[in-house]
Amino acid sequence: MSSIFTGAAAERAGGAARGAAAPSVPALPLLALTYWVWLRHRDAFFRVWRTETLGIFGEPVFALAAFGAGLGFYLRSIEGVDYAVYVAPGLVAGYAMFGATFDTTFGAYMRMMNHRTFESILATPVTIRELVLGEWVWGATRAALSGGGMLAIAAAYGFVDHPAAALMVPYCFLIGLVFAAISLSVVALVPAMSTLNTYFTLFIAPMFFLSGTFFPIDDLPPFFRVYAQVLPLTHGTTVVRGFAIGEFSMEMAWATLALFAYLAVFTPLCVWLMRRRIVK
Amino acid sequence: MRNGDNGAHESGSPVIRARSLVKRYGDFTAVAGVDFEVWPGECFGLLGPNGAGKSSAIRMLTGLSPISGGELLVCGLDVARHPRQVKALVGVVPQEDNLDPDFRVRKNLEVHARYFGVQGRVARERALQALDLVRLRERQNDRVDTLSGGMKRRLLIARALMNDPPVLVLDEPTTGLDPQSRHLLWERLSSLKRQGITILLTTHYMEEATHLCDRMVIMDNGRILVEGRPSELIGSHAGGEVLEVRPPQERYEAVRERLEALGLDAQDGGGGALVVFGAEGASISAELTDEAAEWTRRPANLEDVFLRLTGRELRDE
Repeated sequence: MSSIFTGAAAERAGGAARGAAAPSVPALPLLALTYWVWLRHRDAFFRVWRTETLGIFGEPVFALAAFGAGLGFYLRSIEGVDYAVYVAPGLVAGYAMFGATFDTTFGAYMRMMNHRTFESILATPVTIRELVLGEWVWGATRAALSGGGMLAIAAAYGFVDHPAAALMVPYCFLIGLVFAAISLSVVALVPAMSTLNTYFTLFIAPMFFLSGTFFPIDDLPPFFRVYAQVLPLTHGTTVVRGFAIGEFSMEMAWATLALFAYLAVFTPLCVWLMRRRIVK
Repeated sequence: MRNGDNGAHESGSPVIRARSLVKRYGDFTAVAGVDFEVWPGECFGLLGPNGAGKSSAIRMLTGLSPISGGELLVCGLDVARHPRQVKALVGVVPQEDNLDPDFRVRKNLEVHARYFGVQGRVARERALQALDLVRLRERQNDRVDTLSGGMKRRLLIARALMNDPPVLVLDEPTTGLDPQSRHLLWERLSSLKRQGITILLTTHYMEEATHLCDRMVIMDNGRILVEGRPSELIGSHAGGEVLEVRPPQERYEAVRERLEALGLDAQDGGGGALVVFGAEGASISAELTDEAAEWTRRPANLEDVFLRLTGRELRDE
């Protein structure tokens, strides 16, 4: 049959004829379509790369100046290292969390409700599963970018100098997967965008303060210490801090296991909750 | 590619076939078992008041809503069993604008094409040709929020064409557009039809249905009331001519009785008017002049059919 297009534009991706019962669906739809959803987010990110780059590298310049050089001047050392060396990996993990969380809460909510981008994507061969997984992997990518930006500036300040610190970037991706899965589950449940503020107030912000970012959780009052132990960022910070100084411990292995436990629960949960919200 | 009424179709199988199609939301039945077929190259209309079940039918067809019962086939593929393949064959123009504000005009098309595996040079060429088709090429590098309502709707059509679909599904394509935009859109859709694309559209503009649809169904409360060509439906449900009579308020009943005495079926037309369907040839001017009633004769149209079949009550969803 004919095509409304002429020349090269009429080429079918799968070589199938128009109207034939072999439409263009890729051989590995889950992987290919998740990747194409991820590419959409990547393209949107690079379209505004100037502002995004400023966010990724600009804020760490000030955060590390304040906590590392400023506060660090008074605190001198903690757990046997300079405060700046202690706090820098904490900020890397914390910023990874924020990077993933902003995009998969406010960003995803806007795409779902305000811009109806989800609806337009679901009219293509993409199903809810690939749509959500694309958001999820992109959230983790944002975490690696944010964490990586913080790490680069920390290295420039001289707060991080061990080669093993490079492992922090892929680990930020893992931290990002955890927070993206939790955030997407929350987005699937909130009635309005303002409800997301509650998630930040009660969950994300306390986590940044209590997860060993700025000081060891062992010094917290017992209630907060137990609370901090179940927060995913605590485990992420533990591992990232080990990489920063090139020390590997059993504690880091357990912490990683804890993050995988979070993933095992929240990854299927966010897909299930999103499907429940969108498919009616 | 016009098709006959008694199954003498050019191509053997329908592009879309619904059989006893049902959609339930909890206890509420939005689509209560409908059957229809859309044949290759035709433009088929789903008409009906708000809540008739049109949008539910479209949502099932475009994979946004699971089917509760019956069967829905697109190009012979079961929508429930092969959602991806079906979606690859259909171009969807939604009721509400869902263009991506993160991208400019042409990039919107290219990003959409990628979900169908159309990428790179082919995607770019297709995007330009689709923009030509809807006369938006010169706006290719503009932000989508700078486009007018009519341009956005045309861009949505261009986007729906990126997978080179044999079927185009449009949900109220001209709602909210000014007459110029509406006519340009009709003209573009007719041209797509001439190129062999099968079109299914919902609308509650009767003029639109008359203009575009080869065949249509009128739905209400989840059921199909009538099916046929616009001219057939007008002929069999509203007759050739409609007489509209506006008697003085106090003479309303008297005029109605006099019309009935002439063997005419005078119905309440709303707003103090009486309407008589199939009034061609009836000689009544003397009767009405006596009563000092205002009256007009006009050809029957689809709106008459629609109101006659679905009533005059307001539908609030």
